[in-house]
Amino acid sequence: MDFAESLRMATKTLSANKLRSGLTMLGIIIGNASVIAMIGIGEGAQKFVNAQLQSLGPNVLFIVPGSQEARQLGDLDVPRNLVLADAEALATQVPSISAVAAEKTTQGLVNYRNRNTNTSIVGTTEDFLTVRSFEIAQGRFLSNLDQRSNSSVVVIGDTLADTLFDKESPLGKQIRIKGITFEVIGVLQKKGSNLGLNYDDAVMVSITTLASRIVGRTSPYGIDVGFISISADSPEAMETAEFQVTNLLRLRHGTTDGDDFYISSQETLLTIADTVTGALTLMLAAIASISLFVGGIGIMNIMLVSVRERTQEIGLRKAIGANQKDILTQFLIEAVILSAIGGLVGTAVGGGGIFLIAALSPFEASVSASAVIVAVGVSGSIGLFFGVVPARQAAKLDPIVALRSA
Amino acid sequence: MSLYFSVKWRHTCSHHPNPIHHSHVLSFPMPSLIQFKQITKVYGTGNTEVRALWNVDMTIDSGEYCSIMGPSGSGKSTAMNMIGCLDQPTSGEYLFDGQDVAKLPENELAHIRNRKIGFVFQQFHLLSHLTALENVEQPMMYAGVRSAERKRRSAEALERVGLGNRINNRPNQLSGGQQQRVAIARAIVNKPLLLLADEPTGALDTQTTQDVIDIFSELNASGITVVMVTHEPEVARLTNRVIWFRDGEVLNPHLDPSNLGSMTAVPIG
Repeated sequence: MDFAESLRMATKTLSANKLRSGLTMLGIIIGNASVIAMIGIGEGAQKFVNAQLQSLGPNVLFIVPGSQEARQLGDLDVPRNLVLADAEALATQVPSISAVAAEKTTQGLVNYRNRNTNTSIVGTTEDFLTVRSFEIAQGRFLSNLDQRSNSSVVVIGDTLADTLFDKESPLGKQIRIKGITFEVIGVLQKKGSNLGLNYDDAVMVSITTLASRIVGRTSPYGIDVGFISISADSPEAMETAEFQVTNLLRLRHGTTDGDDFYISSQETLLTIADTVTGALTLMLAAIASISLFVGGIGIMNIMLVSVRERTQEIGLRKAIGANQKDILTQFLIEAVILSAIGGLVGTAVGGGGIFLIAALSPFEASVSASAVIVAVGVSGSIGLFFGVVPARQAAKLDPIVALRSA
Repeated sequence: MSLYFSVKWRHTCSHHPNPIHHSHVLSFPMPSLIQFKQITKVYGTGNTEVRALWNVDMTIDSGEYCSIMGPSGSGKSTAMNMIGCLDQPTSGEYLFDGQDVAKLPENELAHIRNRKIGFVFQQFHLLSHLTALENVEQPMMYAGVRSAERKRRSAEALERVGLGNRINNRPNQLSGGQQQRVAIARAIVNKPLLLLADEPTGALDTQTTQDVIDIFSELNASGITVVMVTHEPEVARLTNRVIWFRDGEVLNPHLDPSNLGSMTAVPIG
């Protein structure tokens, strides 16, 4: 019997028992849908994280206090802090960088008249806009003059402006941070959350103002900073910049072995993020493929029952001239059809699930063609794999015994 | 029709693809279609050993219309399975259409069943999800016949058994007698040499039994060898010869069916 004929016959048999065929497929549908959805979510998360990291800018380096080793081991020895003087030294002495911004963040109550909110208070420097690619929506940003004079001026984020001022213009208004009065001189353009920091909801002051009026000095070496972000001249200058920054900071901190700071770039962050999200995707896919596997076992189960039930049919087919290969093919095709259709429907369901998740979360929808091909291919092979045992059982039936079975 | 003729003759003529064509040569003995030579079939071993057939010699010629009878456990079912190439002997030689099939591999047996033998069973064995036409098509699917040709021949076969107007009915829309006629159409659609029927009227009432037997007679008249296993004397009486089995042996290889006339039930022993 040729293949097209076998295919037609199998479809006929399967559609003669729709409920059973449907239920058998359900296992594969669920398995496949979860594989597709999990891979899609993993890829969506990966894209999301990558987009966040990309928005840091291609030639930005972050310098964070403390050695990498100390951080990884959870070393409680307080490392020598990065201070504002370090940032200033980098700005004046490293030739391959174009801008340097220092940041220090604290939390506190901010209020305007009777409205108040507890939010991030970020102390920073004039180059913040350049290095972190922010823009001013209204007014102006903090200047070097503000920094030198410890002036009581703030720039607020877009969301915070809405919270405190509603429809009013914030410019020139007096707000209070931890009870101290500041004047609003500018509003940042909305940018969205970035690596867990949401500047849209923050209030920004000069880092010197933060140190002298809000938190007080904590480091014996100067005004300490949370991290320093620098902008290299070009993406190509990144390595040079990193080298020069390292050298200068070692010199300034008097360290020879074991740096007390750690430099990361968008690239290294991307690599780390890729590794993490990749592992996550793999784990999700592995969990989901268990259900695909279980679906395959379901097919084997039903096919075994079907062979039992159709013993007489098999006996009759053998009597009228079917050989072992014909019977084997017939049952294998039935199994493969079940799992292939289950795979296709499952893919559609999984794809739909991804778009639903995308609509409800910040992740974007992502169903790669390769994932679909792999999932459908795998479920087809699962049908073939789990169909072999029942099909062989059917093919090996003795026609006499099969015909006599009532 | 002679049951016995020389070995030499068989060896020279039995390879002819279709011995039926010789039937018009009246002066010439018919070639044998089925020949058992010392066929033994043993099931199990040791203490559980059952001798289903014991050194059976039997010959059925092309064009014959005969029945196989015997009490249960006599070996008649085993003999029928053997004749139909569904089973193979433990020892002995079985020439079917001139070919020794006793040791053939399963695939070749399947091929012989497909091309040369048509089966009719007591329980009809129709596929319930297929129409009468599709049921009749089945043997041709394994013979590799194209769809259009299959449909034409199936319709023709159903016409021949008087079901030309029921070709699109499913088995559950047909009476027992009609279902058995579909099964007969399926059995003859590949133009077999042998029609092998296992209690074909066992599930039918008197009237439909008569219809089915009439079809058998008609098919036999057209040249097909018909062999049926039955326990109904009134059915066997309509055939030309009865082969009587008992205890795994052929007790009487050519019982005259008219001798069954006085019997009211199957004689035991």
